[in-house]
Amino acid sequence: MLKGNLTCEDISRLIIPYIDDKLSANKRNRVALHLRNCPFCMEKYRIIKSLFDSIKNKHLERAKKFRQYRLLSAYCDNEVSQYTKDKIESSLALSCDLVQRTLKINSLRKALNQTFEAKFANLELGLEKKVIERLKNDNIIYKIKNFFNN
Amino acid sequence: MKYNIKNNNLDELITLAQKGDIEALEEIIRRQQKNVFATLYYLDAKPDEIMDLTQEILFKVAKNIKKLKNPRTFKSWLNQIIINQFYDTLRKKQKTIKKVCLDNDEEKIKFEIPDFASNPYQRVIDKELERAIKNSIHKLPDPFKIAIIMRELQGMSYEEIAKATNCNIGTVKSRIARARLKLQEYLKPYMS
Repeated sequence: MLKGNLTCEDISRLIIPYIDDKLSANKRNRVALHLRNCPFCMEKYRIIKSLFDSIKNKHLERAKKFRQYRLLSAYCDNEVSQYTKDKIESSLALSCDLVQRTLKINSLRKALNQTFEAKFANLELGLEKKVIERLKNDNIIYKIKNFFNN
Repeated sequence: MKYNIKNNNLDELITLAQKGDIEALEEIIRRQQKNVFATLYYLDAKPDEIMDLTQEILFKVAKNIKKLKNPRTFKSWLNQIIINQFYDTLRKKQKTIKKVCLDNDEEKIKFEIPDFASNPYQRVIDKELERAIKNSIHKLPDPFKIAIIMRELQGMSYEEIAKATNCNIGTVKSRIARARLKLQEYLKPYMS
């Protein structure tokens, strides 16, 4: 429980929860009051706040970029609605960067598909006979078991 | 008139197999075996276990085909079996004590599929790319790996993948996009 005026030491402890908005209304007001009256703590607050904001912005930027990529990836798979498709196609006409990203996704898909196809094109496994044989044996065993159980 | 089973499409074959037609069932297995094998190969199953696992999965398909209600959901049903079987072996592997092979016969364990690309130079490049792709896919976390394999190798729709992996379409979309981002990063030196 904090009593009386807050000291600079209290502020350094409370500054992060204050930025995160995790303090009660009473505490928040007292921290704000201290910051208004103490240039040293205010400077500290400004530096930390700008650092936090830049990290937050970076995260938001990254999330936005991923959302865009996710949409492009689904577009390349033809898994978007007609409306989204039209919207993406009109954006593609305006942005070289977007076109390049789409091309990269498509060339990855092409490389994967070609490799998969080439890798297994000549593979002969011949498992069908073995599986059917096993299924028949399994059925016989089942019938014998049933016969003895009855 | 004797009909040729090879001309039937998969849906028809499944319906026939469900009625007890062994020839149809055999044809389904013939068509699907490569698919199952390739999926396991990229899922990073142990090379010497892939063949056994493939057979086990195909046997499960053959045994339970009558339980499949709608032939159109065959693909996601099959993939569900593959995923379950794959996770099952992983679980079993974690439980068993690691065995060390005393025969120093690594050649036998080595697993290679013949490659018939036309010219030797191209063959080397293709082989290198294939290895890079395989290793990159193996590096992905399991849910991403499964999603991208189902999409690119099996050609399944997002909805089918969602059904087979028991999650929603949004998650499938994200997983595929994440897998692609990672693969692009890993394969950067190989992509022009």
